[in-house]
Amino acid sequence: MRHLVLAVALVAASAARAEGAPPEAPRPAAAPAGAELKPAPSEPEAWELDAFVGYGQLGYPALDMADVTWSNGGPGFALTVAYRGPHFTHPFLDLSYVPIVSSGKYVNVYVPGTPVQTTSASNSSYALGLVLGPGWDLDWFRIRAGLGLFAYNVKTTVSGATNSISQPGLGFLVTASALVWHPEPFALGVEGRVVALEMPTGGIYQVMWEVGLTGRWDFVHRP
Amino acid sequence: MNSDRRLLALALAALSTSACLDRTAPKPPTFQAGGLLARSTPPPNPWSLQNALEGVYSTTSRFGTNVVVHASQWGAVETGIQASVSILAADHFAYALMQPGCFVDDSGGAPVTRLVLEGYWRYLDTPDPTPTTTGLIRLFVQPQTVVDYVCNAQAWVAAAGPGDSRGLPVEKATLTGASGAGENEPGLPVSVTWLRSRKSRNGPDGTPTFLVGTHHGGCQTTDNCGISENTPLSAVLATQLGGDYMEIDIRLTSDGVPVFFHLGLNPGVAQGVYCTGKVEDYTYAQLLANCRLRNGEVIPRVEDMADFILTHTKMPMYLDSKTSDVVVPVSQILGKLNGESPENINDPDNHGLVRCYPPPDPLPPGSPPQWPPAGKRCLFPGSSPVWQRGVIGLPNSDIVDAYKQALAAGQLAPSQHCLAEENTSDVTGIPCVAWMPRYTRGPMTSEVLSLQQQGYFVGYWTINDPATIDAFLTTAKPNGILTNYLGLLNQRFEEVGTPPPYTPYRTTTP
Repeated sequence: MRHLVLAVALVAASAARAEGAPPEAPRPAAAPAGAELKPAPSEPEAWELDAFVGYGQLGYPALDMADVTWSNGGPGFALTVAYRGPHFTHPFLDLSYVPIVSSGKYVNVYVPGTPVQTTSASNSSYALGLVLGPGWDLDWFRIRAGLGLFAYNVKTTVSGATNSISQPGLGFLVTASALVWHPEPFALGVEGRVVALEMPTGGIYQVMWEVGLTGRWDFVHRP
Repeated sequence: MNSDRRLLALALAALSTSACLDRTAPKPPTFQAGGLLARSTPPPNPWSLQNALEGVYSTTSRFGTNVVVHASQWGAVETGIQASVSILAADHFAYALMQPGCFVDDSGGAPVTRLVLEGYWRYLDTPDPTPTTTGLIRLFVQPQTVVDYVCNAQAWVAAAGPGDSRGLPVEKATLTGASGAGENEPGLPVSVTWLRSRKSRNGPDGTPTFLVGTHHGGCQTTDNCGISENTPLSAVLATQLGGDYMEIDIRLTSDGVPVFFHLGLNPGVAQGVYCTGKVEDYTYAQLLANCRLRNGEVIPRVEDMADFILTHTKMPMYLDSKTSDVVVPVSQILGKLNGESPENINDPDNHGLVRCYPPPDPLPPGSPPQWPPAGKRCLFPGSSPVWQRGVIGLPNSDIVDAYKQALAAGQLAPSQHCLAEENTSDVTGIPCVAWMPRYTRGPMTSEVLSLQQQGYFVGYWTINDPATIDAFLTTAKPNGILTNYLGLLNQRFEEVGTPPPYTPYRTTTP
C-alpha cells in the first residue's frame, strides 16, 4: 500500500508539473538603452492521439496447466491521448483492452456419494483499463508509466452454464515503444506493454504483457 | 529539470517495487523424514493424554509462563480417533501444535518407553511465518509413570465411549526438549513445568457454561497457518487449539448450493486465474473448476463440511448466514443430517448421524430395537445430537425476517436452533437459543445476565485483544467469546475467567 500511495503521488506530481508553465528563460543582462528585445523562441507543443494493436497474454501467475487442453492469449488494443509540451515528460490518458488468457480444461466435479463426473470448462478473461501517467520521449524511444482503474472481466462456461463477472480494481501500465518512422504529423513503430492488476493493501495479483504496432497522430501541433 | 527527473525515477521505482501477491500460502515446518513420530505409535487411548497432561504450566523459553497445555481428540471412529497436544500462550499469541508418539528407546542400554510430542510452534502476532515466528518443536514427557500411563493404556474401543476411566496419574508431567527456527532442527532448550490444573468451565449442574468460540476455524487464512479458514481441516485445527464451538460463514452459489465462504473471492483468500468476484456469481461446478482456497482446498459445500465437523469433532456449529436465502437450504441440510429425528430414524434411505458412543439414554421416541438404526452413521464420540450442534446465525433484521417466515411456513427442520446477533427481543421472541452481539456494543452486562438467567447462551464476536478479552471476561461473564486467537482466549480464561453460574443452551425443542 505504501508503494501504491507513493506511486500515485509521484505520478500525479509529475503529470501536474508537465502541464504547468514552461520554465522561465534566463533573464538577459540589462539591455543597452534603445536596443530592441527579441522574444525568446517558443517551444513546440502538440496534442497527439496514439493507437496500439498487438497480441498479449498472462505472464504472472502461471496458469495451472493440470487438465488444461488448450490455452492462449489474445489481441490487445489501446487508444491514448497525450500532450507534449516543453517539459521533458508528457502526460497521457490511456484506454485499453488487455487480453489475459483463454483456456479449456477437463474438470472433475466432485459430488460426495456419487461417481466423479468429468466435464469440460472453457474460460476467458480480459481487462479494460483507463490509465493516467507521465511519458518520456528520448529521440525516437518512448517510455510511459501510469496508474489507473481496471475492470477485470471473466467469462466461464462449465457444464454448459456460462457466467460473466466484472470486478473493478486498480492497475499499473508500463509501455516502451520505438517510433522508428516519422511521416509528419504521424509516427509509426513497435510497442511493448505490461499491465499489472493490483489488489489494494494486497499486492499485484496478475501481470500481462503485450507486443504490437503503435501509431501516433499529432492532431494539434504548434511549432 | 533535474528534480523532475528524480520525481519520475522515484515514481517508476515505486511502481516497480509494488510487491507481487503470492496467491498460495506457506506451510508450517515439518520434521525431516517424519521425525521421531515416524518410528512411534500413537497412544493406545487418545483420551489418556487429557488426564495426563492438561494443565497450566510455565515454560523456560518461547512461550512465557502460565501457558495452557491442551490435549484434544479428533477424527472419525471408522478411520481412527487421534490425539493432539497444544501449548496455548498469550505471549505473541503463540501456540505449539504437536502430535504424540510412543516408542521404545534402547539407545541408553536398557530399553525404555518414551512419549514424544513433535510438531511446530507459531507466533500469530505476525501474519507472515518466518524463522523468528515459527519453527519445529520436540518435547519428551516425564516422569516415567506418566509415560507408562499414556503409552501402556488399554487400547480405546468406541463402545467404551469417550474418555479414559482411570484416575489421573499421581505425578504431574514435565515436558522437556527444544524448539527451533524455521525448518531447522530444534536447538533452543525448553522445559514446560506443571503449575496447576485448568479451571473448570462447568456450571453447578456440571454442564459447561463457558465455551471458546473459533472464528471461521482454527486460524484466519491471512494468518498463514497452512489451512484456509472455513474448511474442514480448519475445524480440526480449531479443536486442536482449544476451540469449543465454531462460527462458519455460509453463502449460496448461483445454482443454490450452500457453501462455506466468508467475503469476496479476492486473491488474498482464493487462488485461480479466473477466480474473482463473489461466490454468488458462480455455479458450484464453476467454483470447483476455477477456484481454490489459498492453501489449495476447494470451497466446501455445507452438506459435506457439516457432515465432517459432526463426525470428526464435538464442536457445535454457529452457521452464520451471509444472505437471507441460505436459511431454508441450510436448515434442510441439517434436517437430513439429523438421523435421530422422528422422520429419519426409521428411514433406511436416510444416512443421517446418530449418537453411538455412547447411545442416547433413553433412546429417541419411535426408535427401532437395534441401535444405531439401519442406514445411520455415528457422530463423534460424546457428541450432542445434530439438532443441538447446528445453530443458524441471524446477523441482521433481513435474515431474522427470512428465518421467521421460513419458520411460520414450516420450511425449517424440526428443532432447528437459531442465534441472533442484534436484538435480544429476537432471541426471546423467535425464540433462538443464543445471543451473539458484536463486542463493540460494550459488555451490556444487564442484558447478558437477564438472558443467561432465562437459559440462553450469550457470547460476543470477535475479540482478539488481550485487554479487551480480560475486560469482557471479568465484566460480563459471558458463555463464550469468538476469537481469531484461540490460544490467547484459553490462556486469558485461565487467568481471569469465571464460568457463569447459569446453564446455557436450551436443549429443548424451541
